[in-house]
Order: sequence, then structure tokens, then C-alpha cells
Amino acid sequence: MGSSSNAFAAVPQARHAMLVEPERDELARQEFVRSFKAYIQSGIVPGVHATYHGEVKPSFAMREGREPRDRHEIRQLMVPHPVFRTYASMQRVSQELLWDTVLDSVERELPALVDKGRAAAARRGDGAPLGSLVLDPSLTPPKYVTGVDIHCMPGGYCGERGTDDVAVGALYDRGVYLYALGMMGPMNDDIGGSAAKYLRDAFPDFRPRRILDLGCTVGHSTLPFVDAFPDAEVHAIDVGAPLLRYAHARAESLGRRVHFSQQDATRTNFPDGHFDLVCSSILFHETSAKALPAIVREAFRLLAPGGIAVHGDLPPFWAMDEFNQFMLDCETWYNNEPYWGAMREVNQVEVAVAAGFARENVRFMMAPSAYRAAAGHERGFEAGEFAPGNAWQVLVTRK
Amino acid sequence: MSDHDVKRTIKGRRPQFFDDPAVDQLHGMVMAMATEMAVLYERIDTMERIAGAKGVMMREELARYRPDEQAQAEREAWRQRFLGRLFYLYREDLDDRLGQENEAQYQRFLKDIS
Repeated sequence: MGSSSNAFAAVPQARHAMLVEPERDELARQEFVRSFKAYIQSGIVPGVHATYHGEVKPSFAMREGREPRDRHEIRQLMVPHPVFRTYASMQRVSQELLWDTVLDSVERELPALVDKGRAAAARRGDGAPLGSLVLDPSLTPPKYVTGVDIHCMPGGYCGERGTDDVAVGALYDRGVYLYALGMMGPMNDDIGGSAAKYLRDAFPDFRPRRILDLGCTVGHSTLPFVDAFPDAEVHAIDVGAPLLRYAHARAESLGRRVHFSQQDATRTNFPDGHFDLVCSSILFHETSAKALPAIVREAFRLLAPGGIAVHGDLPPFWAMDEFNQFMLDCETWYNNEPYWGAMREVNQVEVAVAAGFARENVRFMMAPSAYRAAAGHERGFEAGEFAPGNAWQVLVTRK
Repeated sequence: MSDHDVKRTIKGRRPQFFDDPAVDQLHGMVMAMATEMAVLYERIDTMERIAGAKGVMMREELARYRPDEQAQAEREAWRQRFLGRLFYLYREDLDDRLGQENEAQYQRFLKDIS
């Protein structure tokens, strides 16, 4: 335990025109919070594991003549323990500080960011825009997006204040990098990158003409699909207008052609069979028990015969022991991720079969992390919070 | 600037980890202060490195520096004032206990204004 500290070597976030540029003191704060999070993972989480395995579990076994049954029972035992309380409290505090320190940069740069967003979207002085942006002011975002600020990000995915606001996009882009401790690569794109690499390896002859990314946020995991399939027409949707403005400007500034539109992934306005590839990255765990199957059904409707849908997320509970389940489930309780735990209980294979996919065309597996494989970052899975191992869970369905 | 303000509060219920919510608040305050300490540390480190790159060996000079008697006395006075501020609640509490002066005076004051 605690052997994973070398995995936190800081990889600087890749610059682009829309990314906030923290001033000296802002950067020091943000770097400190990232270090704090890394320390929680390497210096505090092992103590929680040791407390459970060395103290709580043995004394329970002595008393009851058996081991704790599941993550719920472990939770009852651990929540009163001072070691766990300190861990959980510090985790929450680190998350609150993370967003707050990034907000300093976003707030200072916002007028310029809004202007940069407009300019980048129009590619002023640099020819016509490569992609496009279609917003739908009549769209009501689903409750599971607006009911709480997911992962404690102030404003959530749909927070919008001024005209042409991009604040939550800027906040998310920088915040995710710090949250992931750089483990998703300098472009925060490892989930999409790993899924795209998996597809190319597993289906070498697959040449999608049209691709749709569902719940794209700022397009972190959309762009790897543009690079993996350069001849494809790439579309991406989300429900938040500020996110999409930011995503479009970001993609344009990085020279990538993506057509963004404001739509709900459970009912898009694209015709039946319009896409050869439908993908999503860390979307499932931020939806709901009703929306997840509806998204899989919509993907089935949107796919042309022979088309593939690939949905990437963090590992399901069955892929880890009960104690790691309990630790991972802390996100549900303490980080405004209400569907995080329930989603990891869902049998996604059955969801896909119920949506219409033939059972033999459904795979649920781990896609090796493209970034960590390339960077030589090997790490095992020891749940604290965001702590992927060397692979992402992917649901792969072929129509 | 109202067009460009940002939201700082988090929608959703904040969990309470300790029996006394003041402990939760203290965790937040301690780590917010630790963040600012890291900012100061980095500033000083930057100064030393920039000075070093210009041939001013600040780090070495700082290591060699020994305060004279007057400097030591001034530092001691500063530390005592600082500690006094850190323990202001303790001192107030102590003042109250030793003489109940604060409470008695407050009661007289209430009478005066009513």
C-alpha cells in the first residue's frame, strides 16, 4: 500500500487558447490542492485501508464470527471511526478547495475568456470555423444534471450567468486536470483516447463515417475520436450551453473539426441509423436509473447496421473487493455524485440486450489506458476517490 | 462586472463528518490556511531562485545570517504579540473567569441603556 506515489509525477496540462492561465499565486494554490489530493491518496488512504484490515475487520470478525458482508456493512463500521472521518472530511475539503482555487483564475479571466470564446468560435482572422455550434435555449436540462452540483463543481454543468458565458467550461477543463492528478494525460483525454485505441485494435477494419459523442462536456474525450478517425464527421452533444461554447472554442483553437449541439442524450434530433459510432465517456455515472437505459436505447436507434457504441467509465463494483467498493462509493455520499454507486451495480450487458443489441454483439470489458501505457505509468487499483487502475471499463455494443 | 461574476457556492447537501460541526469548519480553515502558506513558501522560494540566478546567493546568505541582539529582541516581541493574537479567545475566557469583570460590566451596560 502507498506504493502508487510515483504515479503522481506532475504532467503539465497542455495549453490551448481557452485554458485559463493561472497567475503565480493562483497556480501555487492550485498546485498545492493537487498535491494535497495526491497526498490524501498516497498518505491518508493507506491508513484507512490499514485501519479496516488491521483493526475494524478483525474486531468485527471476533465479535460476529464472520467477515463484514458487503460495502454497506463496511460503511456502518467505518463511518464512526476517527481515521475514516478525517479521511472523508479532508477529501471533501480538498474538493471544495480545488474548485475555489480554479475559480480565482476563471473569475479574473472571464471577460477575456468570453471574448476569446467568441473569437475562437468564429476563427477570426484564421478562415471559417472548422466545426459548428447549435444551441437550443428551449432545452430543459434533466434533473440529474441540475439537482446538485455534480462533484461539487459550483454552477454544475449548466450554470450560466452572463451573455456567451463559458465559465463552467473553463472551470471544468482546469479542475478535471487537477482532480485526475494528471492521470488522464495533458489533454484530459485518456478515456476517449483509450476507447478509440481499443476500437482500432479490436476492429481494425472499422471505418466510421459519422461519429457522435454523448455528454461531451468540454470535448476532452471527443477529440481523440477526431484523431483516430480523421475521415469521419464528428458530432458531440451536451445539455449545458456554456460547456458547449467552451468546447467549440477549444476544439477550434486546437484545429479539430467537431459539430457541437445542445441536446439530451436520451432523445436526440438525429435520424435513425445516422451514425456508425456512438460513444460516451464518464457519462453513465452522472445520469440516473431511468436515463442510463434510455441512452443505450438511443444509441441503438442512432446506429447504422454494423455500427458500434462504446461507453467508457470507471470500474464496476464486481471488479474490486468489498472494501474498495466502500471507498469508491464515498463519492456517492460525499462528492455530490448521487448515481455513482447505483450505476456500478447496473448490469450493463442486460441493459444493452434490452435496448435491442444481440447478446453476442455486447462486450463489457476493460480497455487499457492508452495514456498510461504510453507514458509508462503503471499503477494498481486502490480506491480513494478518482483512482483508476491501468484500464477503463467499456461497454461495447455492435448493431 | 455583474455579467462576469462566478458562482462559488455548491448546490447540494454538505455532509457533516464530525459530531461537532465546528470540527468540520476547522478542517476547512486549516487547509485553506495551509494553501496560503504554500503560496508564501513558493514566493520566497522563487525570490531565492531568481536572486541566485542573478548571482545573489540569498539562500546561502540566509543560512549564514545570525540576528544581532536588537533583532533578536524585536523578533521575540513580534512572536509574543503573534501568540497573543492566536490565543485571544483563551485570554478573553481567562479574563472572564478571573474576576467576572466582563460579565458584570456587561450587565451594568445593559441596565444603562434600557
